[in-house]
Amino acid sequence: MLMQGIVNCNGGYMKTFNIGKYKNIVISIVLFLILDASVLVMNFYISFQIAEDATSINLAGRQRMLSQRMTKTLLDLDYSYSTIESREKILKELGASRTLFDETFTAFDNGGTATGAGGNKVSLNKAEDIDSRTAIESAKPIWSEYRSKIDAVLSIEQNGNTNPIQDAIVFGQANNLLLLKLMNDLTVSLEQVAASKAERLRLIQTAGIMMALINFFIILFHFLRQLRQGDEVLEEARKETSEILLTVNEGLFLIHEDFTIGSQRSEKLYEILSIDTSEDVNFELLLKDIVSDKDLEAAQGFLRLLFNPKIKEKLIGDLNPLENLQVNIDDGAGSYTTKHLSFDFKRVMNGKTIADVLATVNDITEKVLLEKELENAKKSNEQQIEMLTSILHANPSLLKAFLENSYACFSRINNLLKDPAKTQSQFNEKINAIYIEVHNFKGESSALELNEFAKMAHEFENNLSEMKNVPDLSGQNFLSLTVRLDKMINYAQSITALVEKLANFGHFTQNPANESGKEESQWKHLDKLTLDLSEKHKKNVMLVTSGLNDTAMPQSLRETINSISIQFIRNSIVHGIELPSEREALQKSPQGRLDLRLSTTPEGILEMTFKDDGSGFDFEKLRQQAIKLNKWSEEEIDHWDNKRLLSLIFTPGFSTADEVSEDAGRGVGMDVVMQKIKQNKGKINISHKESQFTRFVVSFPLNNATEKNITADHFGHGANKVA
Amino acid sequence: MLKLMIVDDSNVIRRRIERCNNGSDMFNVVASAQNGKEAIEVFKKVQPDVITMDLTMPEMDGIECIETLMALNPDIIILVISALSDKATGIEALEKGARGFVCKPFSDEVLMASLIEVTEQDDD
Repeated sequence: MLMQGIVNCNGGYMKTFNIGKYKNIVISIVLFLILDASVLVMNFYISFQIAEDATSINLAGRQRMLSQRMTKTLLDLDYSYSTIESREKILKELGASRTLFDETFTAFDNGGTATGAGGNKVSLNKAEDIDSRTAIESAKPIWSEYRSKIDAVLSIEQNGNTNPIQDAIVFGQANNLLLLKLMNDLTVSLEQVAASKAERLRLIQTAGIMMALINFFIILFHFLRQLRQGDEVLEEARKETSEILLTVNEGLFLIHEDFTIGSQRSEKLYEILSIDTSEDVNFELLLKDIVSDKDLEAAQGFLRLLFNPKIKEKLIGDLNPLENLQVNIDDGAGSYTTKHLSFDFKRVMNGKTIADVLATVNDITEKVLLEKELENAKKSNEQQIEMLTSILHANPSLLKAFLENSYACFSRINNLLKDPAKTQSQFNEKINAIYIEVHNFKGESSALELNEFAKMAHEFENNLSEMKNVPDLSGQNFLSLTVRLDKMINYAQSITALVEKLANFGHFTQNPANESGKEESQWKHLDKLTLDLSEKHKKNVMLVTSGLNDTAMPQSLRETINSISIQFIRNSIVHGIELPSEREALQKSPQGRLDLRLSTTPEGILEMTFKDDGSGFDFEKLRQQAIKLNKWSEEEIDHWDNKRLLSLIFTPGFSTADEVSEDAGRGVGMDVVMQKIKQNKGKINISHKESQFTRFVVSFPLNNATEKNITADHFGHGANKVA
Repeated sequence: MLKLMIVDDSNVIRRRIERCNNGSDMFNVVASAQNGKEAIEVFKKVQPDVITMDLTMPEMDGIECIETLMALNPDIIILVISALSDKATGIEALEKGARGFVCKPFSDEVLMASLIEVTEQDDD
């Protein structure tokens, strides 16, 4: 997206050739070539002209010589009668001179060919300049006459007549110097023409060279300017790229086909991946340190797909294994920072070829954390709704009592936390005491279907369990408990506030009739608890109650009965009642039955009887659990009778449940029951029959007089009446 | 018109892909198979141009099926249509020779666009 200015990802690298920017340089070069060609042509032409002129000058000079030679031969002819051979030779020379002079003269006059110095034929242009013409025109009548006289000499000589010689000698002597001068003028004139042409050539050459130089400098200037402009554009592009790479909030880099990373990388990349090298890095090596082997392998595969031209890029986006990656990055100080990174990959095309892959990496840690926060907020909202639903469904007086009990319970836990402890055993006692409070609170929360409270209490118990395994406990270990307690207090306060608000709208207005007489609604939650636990543990159980509404008792005792009932119901459903299939196999009704009965004896004793038709106690399991506690030797335990084994269920931390759950497994249930019984000065009897039933009978004195008589023994009267 | 074969163990998905291509002037659904093994047999008979391939199937899974089909015809165009439980498996399928991946659940538009995309790539 951001790199589109630099790289055309869809269309590949920009390859358009723009002739516009090269126009000037092309024109300059063409001009240079035309100029060069022109100078060359002119050079050729004038050189040719100069060569012609040189021939003309040479031949004009020969005319001078011929004019003198003809006179000389005429004189020689006059003095040379001695031998016939010499006369013939002289005449021949005169004829040749005459012919050569005439031929050359005619060629100068009209243009044409003449015999050159080497005997070859050369072409002469008509002499056009004024001086040459003047010389020729002046020489023409003289030569014409001189020629006829020489011709007469040549023809008469053949006939043996001597008079024409004297005539020619007289004419020659009279005009010899004039003809020489005229031929000299012609030569000089031709030389001047040639000199003028040479001068022109020099000028043209100089001008050509100058123009070529100017053109060269123009080309050089254009070239340098364009080079500089190109450099500026490149520099500007490089600067822009650098600015982009310095500024973007993403880690940007190119991955080559061999998985090496390109040298151009955004600054943010170093920060996101906590790397400080600008050297060549391999993407695999980069990932190797921060992701799992599985993610690395998937990333390698994915990159191979991106470089595979057969694979359609649009159709593999969903497979990006690095889209949302949790990595642990070494911060260099020996610890690791957890980050959430998101890699995105896009092919960089060069035409139809996959050149590279552009990788973008973002640190999405904040986003992920925000999402988690939102998730928590959503959860919290759900909690609120659940809280509201629970409250609306709860019995107002029970809820009120629960909240009051809760605050009392939290206060006790707080006091326990504050209690100073130094030794390991003191810490353990403290943990056990808190356990009992929390477990009791959990039970009551479940009974009222205040599941969030039950969950918090369960987590509290988890924390306590973990602490039990800590060998050297200190006050520091208890800090986390104060946080949990605070959380529960806040939640309770939220409920209280909500209850008050709802009261303003007419809910939770106490109905006097309900408060005094119609108590069944106060026990209704036990049915709900039975139903919920049955469903949760995949069991089919019904609760049958009697006397709950008819038995008058103080509020404090009612709460105790409630608390104990909850514990009994939970224990029975989790441990006692079998699964429907198991019950059928035992030829029992698939539906388990719990009986809860309250009655008052004439002696003023409140009797609470709880019975289930479950499996009864498994003494062998009790024995095994006792061994696991490591408090007694196996030999000692072997000697225990059933009564002694049964007494274990009241031992803090004792449980026969195989796994810890919200409902069982901590071994904190029956010791809570025992504590409640002790607090109310009651006693408990247990009886059971294997695979048939378990029965608890709990007795409480209803008045002070009775109280005194009952406090003697909390456990033992009729206990373990094994049926 | 290209011959399309659907390979998926879910008849709902098979019907869905078939319905999407009803009236299409580009693809003609010529066959379908419920597992990789059946797909190989049907492939030999109908010689389709394009195949939509599920990955998780009984008898023979998509990966093995793609491998076998590529050995029979390296030019066959395979579009993987699978739930994205494991990206690595999807990547493996494409490394074996499939050319595109569509994640379940998918819309009709996405399916058709993907089929067009995957078949057009040879003309690029």
